[in-house]
Amino acid sequence: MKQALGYPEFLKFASDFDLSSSVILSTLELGDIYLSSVKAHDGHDTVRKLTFSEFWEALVRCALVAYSKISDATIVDKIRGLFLYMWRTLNRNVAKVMVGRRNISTYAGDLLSGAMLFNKRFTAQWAADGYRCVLRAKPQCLCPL
Amino acid sequence: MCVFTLTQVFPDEVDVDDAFQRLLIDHILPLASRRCPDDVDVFLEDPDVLAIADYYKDALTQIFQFYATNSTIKHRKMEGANNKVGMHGVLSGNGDDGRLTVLALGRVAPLDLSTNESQASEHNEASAWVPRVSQVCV
Repeated sequence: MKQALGYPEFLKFASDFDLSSSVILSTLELGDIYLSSVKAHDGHDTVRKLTFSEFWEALVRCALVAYSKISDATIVDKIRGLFLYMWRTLNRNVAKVMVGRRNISTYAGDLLSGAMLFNKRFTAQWAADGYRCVLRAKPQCLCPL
Repeated sequence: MCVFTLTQVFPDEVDVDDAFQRLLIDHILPLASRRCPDDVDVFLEDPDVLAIADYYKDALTQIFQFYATNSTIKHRKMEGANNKVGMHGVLSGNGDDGRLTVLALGRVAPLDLSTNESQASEHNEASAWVPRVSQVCV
């Protein structure tokens, strides 16, 4: 069966990664992002859940909505900024999620291994990027010439 | 003009948040295709964005699967609850092949629902809807 993400679980994901805190995105904005990312499939009018590609689109929209007002960084840096934010909350929250939900299923391993992989990928990329602040606009040349 | 609060419209829901969620899921999301959201295809097709998507794909896939699985489990629980209410729906509404896939301890376990309605009628209502386990994934 093709897996898909419902709205409550999308909100749960946002909550676990602290995206739904008013600091970065409001619940209203998350609802708008969800609605904007779900697509009609096979001519059906009823669309309710995100596929993985739509989930990725939702993440891109999250980055755009969250940082467009405060940064003129490129879209890639906005996505990196979102991942930096998620990475910061990841270590403390994933453990809490696992314990809090008493999830004994093997699927819980997906979150744990996914979080570890995300951690590994992000730290490697950020290190390669020189640990720079990804949302700070590149310094403009002040030279009159 | 007549104004109703959300809890009046959905009296079964415990609080406003649940009522709002039900309003969204039952009445707003089905019409989501009517919206004209901002087009982000230009960003999604950007080579740098595609590269970063590819770089994080395996990690994000696993995170996605966790939440999607929770979504599936929840959906099946709701279906199960609905089916309990109407026994006929359980016995005849779970696929043409008489098989129902349920989640047991996180593993997918196909259950044999070959019990026909005449057999079911011999059982009482409490036990008839319980499917006979023919195969369990260990």
